[in-house]
Amino acid sequence: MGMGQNEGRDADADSTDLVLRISRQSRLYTAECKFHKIVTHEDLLQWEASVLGYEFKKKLPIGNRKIAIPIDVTLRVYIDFSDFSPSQVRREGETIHIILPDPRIVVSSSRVDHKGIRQYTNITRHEYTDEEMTSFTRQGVQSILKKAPETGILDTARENAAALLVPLLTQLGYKKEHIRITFKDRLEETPLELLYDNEGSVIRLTKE
Amino acid sequence: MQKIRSFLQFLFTLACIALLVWAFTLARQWGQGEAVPSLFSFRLGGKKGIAPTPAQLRSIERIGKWEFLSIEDEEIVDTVRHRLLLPDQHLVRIYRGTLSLGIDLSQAQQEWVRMQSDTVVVTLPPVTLLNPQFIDEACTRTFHETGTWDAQAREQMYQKARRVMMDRCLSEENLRMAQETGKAHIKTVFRNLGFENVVVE
Repeated sequence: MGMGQNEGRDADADSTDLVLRISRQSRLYTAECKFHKIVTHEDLLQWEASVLGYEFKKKLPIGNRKIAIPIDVTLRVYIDFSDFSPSQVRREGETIHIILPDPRIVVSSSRVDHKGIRQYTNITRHEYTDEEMTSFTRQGVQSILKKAPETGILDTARENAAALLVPLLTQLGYKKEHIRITFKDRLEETPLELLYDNEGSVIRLTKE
Repeated sequence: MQKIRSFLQFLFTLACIALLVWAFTLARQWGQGEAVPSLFSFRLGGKKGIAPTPAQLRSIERIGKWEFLSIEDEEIVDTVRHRLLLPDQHLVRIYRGTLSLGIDLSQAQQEWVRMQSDTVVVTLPPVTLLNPQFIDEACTRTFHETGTWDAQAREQMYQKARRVMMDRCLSEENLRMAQETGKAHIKTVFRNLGFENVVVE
């Protein structure tokens, strides 16, 4: 692959800094899930026509290409303590009631298995470009994000947040049965777009 | 001859009726505010989106990592292939990642939070990079591309971007900032929980 590969030498990669943004945070990550997906795209050339309102489609037997891209995506769920205030802590006698904000999902990392990519291109078509492959990867991550709540990761995050805070409070003198931890809103009714942390990501969840 | 003429007249009448029906349909659509389709259209193209394949959930883990500093970084990495008598080929990609600095509670001591008379004493574990794989490759942008490039080239570029971002972001200053932020936040959280005296080590 690559006409020039046997003809010349490859230079070392070079790099230049572009952007650096530092933010102070107070996020407690309580759950993490890892997904593996094979993103596929089949590009079949087809002829489409519309005559007097009737539509016709016909696949052409030439110029097809296909690609399969394995990706690994890690999502993390966190509770944001940056706005945690005394109003979220209520005391009723010996009982302490803590109201935590909704957990939020963030893409921690996404990785393409470049060695695992398989593409098959007809001689009449050009190979998939880097830009096309990146676009497919982005669509793949988007589809994983939409399915994330179905995995139960939000429940795991809430349970683990409680599991982390309860021993902490018992060490400070509270009895287990006097500790109550709840979350602000009913997560089942929260739109997915609000559960997903868009900040710093070019991936935007859109309503279907 | 007469029969042929009659047949052609019949066909002509049929075509007129078909055109009238089509015109009536278009007029009704236009009256209802719908877009009026063109009489003829032709397109040669392929599919734009990916196929709906399932995602495999590999693992769900309970973790306890408290992030105090988040560093978003971008890195432009390019590689070039020199060829004899032909123009050079280039691949330039912009990588994006978010480094998360904070503490891993699984590294904390058994009693990292304890009461000493009326004071809460918190002993934090050291600040580290919480996500060693911080590059979001789905956010990578291809700035310029000529020629075709294999997996090895892309993998080398990814590792180069990761190395450079880590060297730049995991500076003493940032680690110290994460530590100070962490102490301040933890103190605030415990004060908001109702504990007046808090010492964070």
